[in-house]
Amino acid sequence: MPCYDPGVKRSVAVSLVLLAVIAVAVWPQGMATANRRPQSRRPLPPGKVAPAIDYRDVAREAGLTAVNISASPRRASYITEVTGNGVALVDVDGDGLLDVLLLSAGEMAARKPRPQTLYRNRGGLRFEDITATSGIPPLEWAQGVCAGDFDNDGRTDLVITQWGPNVLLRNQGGKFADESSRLPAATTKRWSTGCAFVDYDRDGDLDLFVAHYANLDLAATARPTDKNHCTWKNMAVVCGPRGLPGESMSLYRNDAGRFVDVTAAVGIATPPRYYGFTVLVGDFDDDGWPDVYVACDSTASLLFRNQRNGTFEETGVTSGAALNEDGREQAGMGATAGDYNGDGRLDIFKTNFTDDTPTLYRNIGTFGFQDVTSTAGLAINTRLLGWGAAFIDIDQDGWRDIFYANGHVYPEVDAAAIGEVFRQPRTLFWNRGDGQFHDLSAAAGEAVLARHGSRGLAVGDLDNDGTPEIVIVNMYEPPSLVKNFAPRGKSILIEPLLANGRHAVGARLRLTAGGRTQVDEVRSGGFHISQGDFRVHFGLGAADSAQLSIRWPDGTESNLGAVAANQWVSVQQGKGVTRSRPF
Amino acid sequence: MTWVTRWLAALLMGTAAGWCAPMCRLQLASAQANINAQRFAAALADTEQCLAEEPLHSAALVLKGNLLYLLGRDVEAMTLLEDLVRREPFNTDGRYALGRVYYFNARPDPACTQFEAIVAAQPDHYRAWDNLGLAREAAGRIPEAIQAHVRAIALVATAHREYDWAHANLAELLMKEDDNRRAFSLAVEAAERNPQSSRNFYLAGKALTRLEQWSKAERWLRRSAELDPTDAAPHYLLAQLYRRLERPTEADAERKLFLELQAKAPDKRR
Repeated sequence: MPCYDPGVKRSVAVSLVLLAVIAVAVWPQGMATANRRPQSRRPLPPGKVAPAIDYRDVAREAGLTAVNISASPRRASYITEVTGNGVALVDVDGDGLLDVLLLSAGEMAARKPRPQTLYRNRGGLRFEDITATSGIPPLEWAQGVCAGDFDNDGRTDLVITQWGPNVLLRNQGGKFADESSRLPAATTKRWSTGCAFVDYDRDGDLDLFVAHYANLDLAATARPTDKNHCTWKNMAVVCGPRGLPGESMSLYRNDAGRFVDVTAAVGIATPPRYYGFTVLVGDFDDDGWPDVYVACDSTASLLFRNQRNGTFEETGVTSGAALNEDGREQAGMGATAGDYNGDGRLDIFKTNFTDDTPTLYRNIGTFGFQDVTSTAGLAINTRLLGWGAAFIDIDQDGWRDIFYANGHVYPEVDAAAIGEVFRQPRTLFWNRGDGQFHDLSAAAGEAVLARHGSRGLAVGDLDNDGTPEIVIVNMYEPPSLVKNFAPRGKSILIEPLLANGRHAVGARLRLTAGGRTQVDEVRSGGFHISQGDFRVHFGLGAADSAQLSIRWPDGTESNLGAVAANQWVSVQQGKGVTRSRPF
Repeated sequence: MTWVTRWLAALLMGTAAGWCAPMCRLQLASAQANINAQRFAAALADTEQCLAEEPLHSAALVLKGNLLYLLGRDVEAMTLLEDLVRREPFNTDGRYALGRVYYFNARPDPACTQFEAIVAAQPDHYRAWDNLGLAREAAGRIPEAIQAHVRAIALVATAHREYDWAHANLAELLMKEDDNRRAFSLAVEAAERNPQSSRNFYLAGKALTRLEQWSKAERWLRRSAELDPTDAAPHYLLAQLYRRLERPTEADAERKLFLELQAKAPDKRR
């Protein structure tokens, strides 16, 4: 989100304007014209050939046709209308196929609850709308979604965050019951965005981390049509987030199925000055205890280090993952974790506002991160406004690539003739395997070139063919279901399950194939206000098998030995491989 | 005054003094004094008095465009300068000012058009080449941006020894391209040209940090911090540097200083 400040009106802030001008003069930043792809100056090294990628959007054929609603597609009045919604890819009915939940907001004036669309996966990338029988109630202003089996019954439950009361949906076997009364009552009045289930205290049940965006008081917030409106590039726009009261994040401990707010007690409480978006859980120091990163808009991002005693310490600035290389706050939207350089550590990629680059934080160990955006070749595009992002091995060569969706926040930009556009193409950076990325966006298929006002994004293998698809929420449009039709390497899908049958959220997988070791984790949430596949996908290149080991959330480890390529492997703690399904 | 404010003031003062016409001499002299004191609203009022007498006074119009921009009235600045350039297509100063306003309003394509027109008419206009580099970079035309900066650097090699911007701008661009050795050399040249610029020392220190030449980087960053004690950025890099060197006490001290300075810094306008 942008960094204008409604409190700094031009008519009264000459000195600030001067200082701002000076700041801009000192640090000339990139600027945005989203109509043209930037030129890459870095050619591929000799002998390195980029893969053929053919991403096509098959949402319509698949039956994913629900149109996203978020107030008016022409003009927004409040910032809640432009932050967008998430998507969840979850096997709701236990049939082995990921179903799709698409969130939607509503109409600002009416604030009428709207259905949240649940599609059942019928197989073969065909979906049917089962919203009416899903048990998911219509909601006034849904934002994000995360999944986890909070009651350890083997069924995946959901939390939907809202601008308003969050909703806990207990899975009763393909149908949900609204059990929001299990959540702390204090959540009802806040604006929540990203969320993730996390067993932070390793007591065997899933706790819940929720990001909050801003303390928005409609009565006190100017609309673009008001006299004291906010401006961006001389255009009247919605106010915020700068100038709006910020927020802090929340952690709710699972006490026998009821969630208790332990935010202050465990060290999550911060001054309320952040605009939290994506919650990203990962064991960033590889100590067996989950840490939590929060991508924050227009403020420093947050990194909560698990102290292994039931408490956290916020270390964002100290660790180097809160700001960019120059110590500047960015407008963080989406975030994703993955080991892009094969050193066994989880790195962080974050999308930001236009006039800025995305940020890649390399995990340098000892809980330190280094902004390597430029070094990695990702600083070439400042013209897109990024949202949902994913580390995804598109060609299955064993190196995680980066895909992210874009879209401007203001629908009005199209009419303003300021060189900005609302609907923007996607971005795909191919991992060269040498610490650098190559922009493949222009040659990766129509689904990457297609322009949408995208927001939430989630990755999952919807047709169980061993290659994950990408589902993207598009503002005021149906979603995109992006599938790669190009040839690719071998792969494997690992599904770690606890002894009680629930997905082993927090398990860390270590896989060695073709002389390389890859790591990843089972993650709740993990995408921008969205939930992806609990199964972990690894590209294997030409390797026929891989050595697999898993560190379970309780800290114990299993060495599974060799597993063959091109299959979906379920591994249960204490039992080993319980099921293998070839692609 | 920091070097940047001096630069801005000098730019505007030079504009006012150089263009002063008899009918407007008093008003523009007054505007100059007000610019010097950073009273931009008063300077604008003076300029408008001049224009009341001579509505088509080119220099006054350019000055007014710059002042409107400095006062945050970007649309008015753009409209005024666009009218001027339309009426006087060979008005280099008008095109330059318009290009700058476009650039700072994130409109790199029309900014490029203005700067390209200037360098076509006046190939030795090193400032226009330099700004063309910035605008092309913003437009994603990286190889052409580098060419423009290189041209600016060639033009200032001997004739304008005081001009350090082209070197610094190219250094910054090359760091985005991960060409840190060349960036460092350029930043050093910029610092030699303008040893009072904290930015030049910062860029050199940043390039050295990327190259993991820690002790050298520390010296350049320290000097940057000394030159502009209000700038938080060098302290952030120093904190990261000390962390890498496992000097936690110094890292903590720099981080605290960084946070203090950052809290005092004004919000940046985008």
